[in-house]
Amino acid sequence: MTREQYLQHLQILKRYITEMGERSCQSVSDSMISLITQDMELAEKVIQKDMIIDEYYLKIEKCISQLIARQSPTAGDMRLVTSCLKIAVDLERASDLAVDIARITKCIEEKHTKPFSNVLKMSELGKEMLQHSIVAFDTLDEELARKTAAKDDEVDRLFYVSQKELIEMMSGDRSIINNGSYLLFVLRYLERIADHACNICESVVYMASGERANLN
Amino acid sequence: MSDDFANGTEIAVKGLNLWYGKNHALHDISINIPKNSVTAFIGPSGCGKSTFLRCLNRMNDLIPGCRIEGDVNINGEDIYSKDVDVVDLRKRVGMVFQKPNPFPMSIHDNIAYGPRIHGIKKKEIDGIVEGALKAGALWGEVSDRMGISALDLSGGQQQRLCIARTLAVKPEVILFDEPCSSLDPISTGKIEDLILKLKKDYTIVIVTHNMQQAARISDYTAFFLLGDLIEFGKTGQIFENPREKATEDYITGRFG
Repeated sequence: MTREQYLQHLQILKRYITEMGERSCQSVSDSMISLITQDMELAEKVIQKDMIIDEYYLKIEKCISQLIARQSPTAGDMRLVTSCLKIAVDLERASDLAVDIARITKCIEEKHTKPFSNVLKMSELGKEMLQHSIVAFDTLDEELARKTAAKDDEVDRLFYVSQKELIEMMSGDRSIINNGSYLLFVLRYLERIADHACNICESVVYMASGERANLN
Repeated sequence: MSDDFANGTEIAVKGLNLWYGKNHALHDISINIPKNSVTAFIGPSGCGKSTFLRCLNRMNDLIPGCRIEGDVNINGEDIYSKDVDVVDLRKRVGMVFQKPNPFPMSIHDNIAYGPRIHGIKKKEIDGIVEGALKAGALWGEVSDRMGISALDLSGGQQQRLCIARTLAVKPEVILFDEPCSSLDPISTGKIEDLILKLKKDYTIVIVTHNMQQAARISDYTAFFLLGDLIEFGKTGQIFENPREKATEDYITGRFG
């Protein structure tokens, strides 16, 4: 095997993405737990831990600049390197959205209102999509990437249904407008998290096959 | 120039000027080359990088009309001082050239040649030959035919043989003058991997026309132009964000 050092650098890059992905998934999961259980401490933890995710982003960007400047990656290696840059952006944004949800935990008033069953479903789906997109990346599993992205339709459907339901509830009971408006944002953030998972799946398909697929 | 290298400085050059007759070929070069690292010299043809490399083991002494001023210290010793034994210096500072140049003798004898003339006892030679060929990443390919002529090896194997031959006399520094320019990409890859392994035990300086090779394997890069050292820094910095416009123009292919 030639170019051992280069291959090691590619492995390090892959590892950074996987680790960053795991942390992003954890943030999304924790932010939703903090919201549901009104756990302020956990919300604060999510906010604090975002710094680590941002550091991962910088590490990945630096690693990629060096790989391009010094190793001239081509073919599958080039697809990996360019995809990693995009995936890192998606993971960073997904984590920022988790932070936004954690901030809402701190703003929301004690009792929540009803459409929580759909929020929970959306959150489970979003988390699962993000997790599976990272597994698909790690194992270069194009089929899993496509299957995962296909779940976005259900997330979108839940988003529109819940949004409508929540607006109707708020127009009927003005006392829930404060919490309801925050929940609208949570719905939107979860929908965006699923979109980022979709983007990651598209990157995985490109890495695996070279096809620029539109799965969103 | 400051010395903030992790492993310290191996070669310290200060105010080096070189003339070929009236031609002032190197202008006031000062550079510290770090220990146990790969340092690459890049620059267009005629920029002085090979000339400068040859200053580091006094190969320019052999060129008529060549005059050198300035200090070159290797591990604290002034190599241009009058009492330096040049043969011993070239043992300490080995060199591998552009074209593989094995001696017209067997593989074994090519490696054994150096240790023999330096007075190593016969019974130790075989061990040294095996060790050098292993370190040169060639042992596995030639261990069952040590008696054949070195000239029967492929170009890439011959070049690794020349590296092994250099290692056999236990140098401190190895100078590579475009060691891969006559090799195919596979052999080049093997030599590059070998260089990366060797830096653990040796200080390596490499002149290369292949900028990507410098980018791939070196820790530090020096850019020469028209006899001047334009920029010297960590390879990552030189290839991502060079300080000098001339360096950027050269490495991005915008020259001339």
